[in-house]
Amino acid sequence: MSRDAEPLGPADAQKLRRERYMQVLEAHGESLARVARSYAKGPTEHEDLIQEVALGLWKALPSFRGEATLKTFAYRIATNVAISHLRRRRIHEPVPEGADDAPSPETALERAAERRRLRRAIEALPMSLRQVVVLRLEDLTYAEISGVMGITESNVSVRLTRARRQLREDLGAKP
Amino acid sequence: MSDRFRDPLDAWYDEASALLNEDAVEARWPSPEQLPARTGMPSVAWGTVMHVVVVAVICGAALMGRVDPWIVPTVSLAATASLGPRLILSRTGLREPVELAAGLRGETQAQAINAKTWTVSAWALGALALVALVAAGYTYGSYAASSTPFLRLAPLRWSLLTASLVGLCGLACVESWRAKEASTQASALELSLELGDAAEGSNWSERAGARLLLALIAVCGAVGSSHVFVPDNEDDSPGRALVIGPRAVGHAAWIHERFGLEARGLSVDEAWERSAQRFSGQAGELETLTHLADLEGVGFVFIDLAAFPIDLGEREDIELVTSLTTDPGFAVLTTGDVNTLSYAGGWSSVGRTRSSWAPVGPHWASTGAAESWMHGEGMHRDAADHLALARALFAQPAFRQPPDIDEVGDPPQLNGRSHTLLRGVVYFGLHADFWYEAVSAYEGMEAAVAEGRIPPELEP
Repeated sequence: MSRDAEPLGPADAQKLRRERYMQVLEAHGESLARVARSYAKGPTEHEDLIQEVALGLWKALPSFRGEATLKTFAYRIATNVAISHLRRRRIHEPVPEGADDAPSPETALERAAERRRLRRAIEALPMSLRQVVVLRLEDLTYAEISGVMGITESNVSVRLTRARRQLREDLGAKP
Repeated sequence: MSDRFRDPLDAWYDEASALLNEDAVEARWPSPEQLPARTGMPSVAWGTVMHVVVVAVICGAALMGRVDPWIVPTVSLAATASLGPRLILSRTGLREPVELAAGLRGETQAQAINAKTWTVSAWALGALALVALVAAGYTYGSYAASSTPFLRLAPLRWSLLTASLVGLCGLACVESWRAKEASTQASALELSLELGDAAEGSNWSERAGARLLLALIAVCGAVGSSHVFVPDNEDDSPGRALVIGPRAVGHAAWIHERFGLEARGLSVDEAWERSAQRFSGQAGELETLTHLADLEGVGFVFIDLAAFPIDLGEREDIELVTSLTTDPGFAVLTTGDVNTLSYAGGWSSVGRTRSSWAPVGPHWASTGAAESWMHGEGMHRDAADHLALARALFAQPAFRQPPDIDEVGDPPQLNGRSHTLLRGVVYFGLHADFWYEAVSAYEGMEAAVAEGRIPPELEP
């Protein structure tokens, strides 16, 4: 990350910012979109949240100093922006519960039903647990989750355990 | 996953992850070009420009003598006050939820909360320190106003000056720090966000505007602070005068007409009454009158010593005379060879027994020089001494266009800005008439009388 330490002109800085933005989306765009979906109710809100995450990422990239990996940095922004979005939604725009629960031709499929149940159970988790679970489900390591959340790895483990316990209660014997 | 904490729990999460990921997600991430522009305005930091324009105009006016120089630190303080909260709000993210502020800076929420706590604490401490300094400035101003002629400024002005300078220093430190951070981040985006109103990508103009603003504020502070160290007559132009004596009203009218000074005449009783209201009567008469001049905000005091004799038998008066004539903030003029101070100072009174009682300092001169000049060399034995002293006085910076007193018709530069750097010119004379006579001599008494500029009742 030696490039970060060098003072760059405005044009170079803008170019670097663009490169990093594209790099993040190429490598983690799908996963970040799933994180956004975890906090959204319905496709419309999901789309909005993706836009917000993109804008937040674009604004924050100039302050990226390489202290964390770009991946951690991006997930941190996505998580923070999503939580902020949830807070605003609670205040201003209540979304009808289960907006995306309309039956589809596939609802008969057991796996689809399980997915919906699992998502609802995750949404019901307290925010401190939900954040960790969402990141874990995107296959982030404990160290990466620790970096995103600003907590220790052991704390990540504790939260995941507590979350699993609550999910088991909510979902019954098996999700 | 190869975490040391990996255990059977993770198997469940892996399974859940696989289940959820079966549901494909469609993400349409916007390209950089599709992201909404922050502003469509040209790359100009309008907030910064407005500050710069306002401060520059007022600075220019102050420097040209069009407005009270004290407005400069006032504006500096206003600029500080208007910029400070914006910096606080943007830096601490007080306007935004913690997680959003954290997201915008790429920090964890814990880091954002920590930063906010520290920053708010620092600003709170800074505000407390500022209040303490203002109080200290007021206290010192009160003390100085009642104790020493040096730095004798009104307490409120001390407060203003203190707050202004401290605020400017604080703002400059914050801005320097922010600029340093921005420069190491290969982008001035944060700086532009903090200063607001700036278009993205206009780094050079934002930086230039911010630096220009800071430079102007620094100039304001410097100009304002310079007034601390320069004797101040509390008024710039045209200046005010206080005339005390039996014929004060007439003299005040003449002074106003002649010099454009806003002059006010007080009878002896009125002056004494006003002094008594301010002071407990512990001070000597002359000292009391000097304080009165300060409180009245006048730059010139004309005292008819027929009403207020200096008693060189009184230690207080002797000390005051010595103090005034030694203090560069005062220019003490006495009138002629018959002046008591002359006797006391030993300048012109060879053989006078009281000559050593009140040693006068270098900031003393006698209009006896004018008198001598008026009547011709040789009239007084010590005319040369008086003349030399008068030259020294008029050569002081206060008299920016020192008159050539060898040339007939050059009046002493008492009006306009010539006196602005002097705290006060205290005339000790036997009679105000005497001063009038001497000054009239400078400009040519005949011409003054012929042009009707001298009120008939004052004509010699």
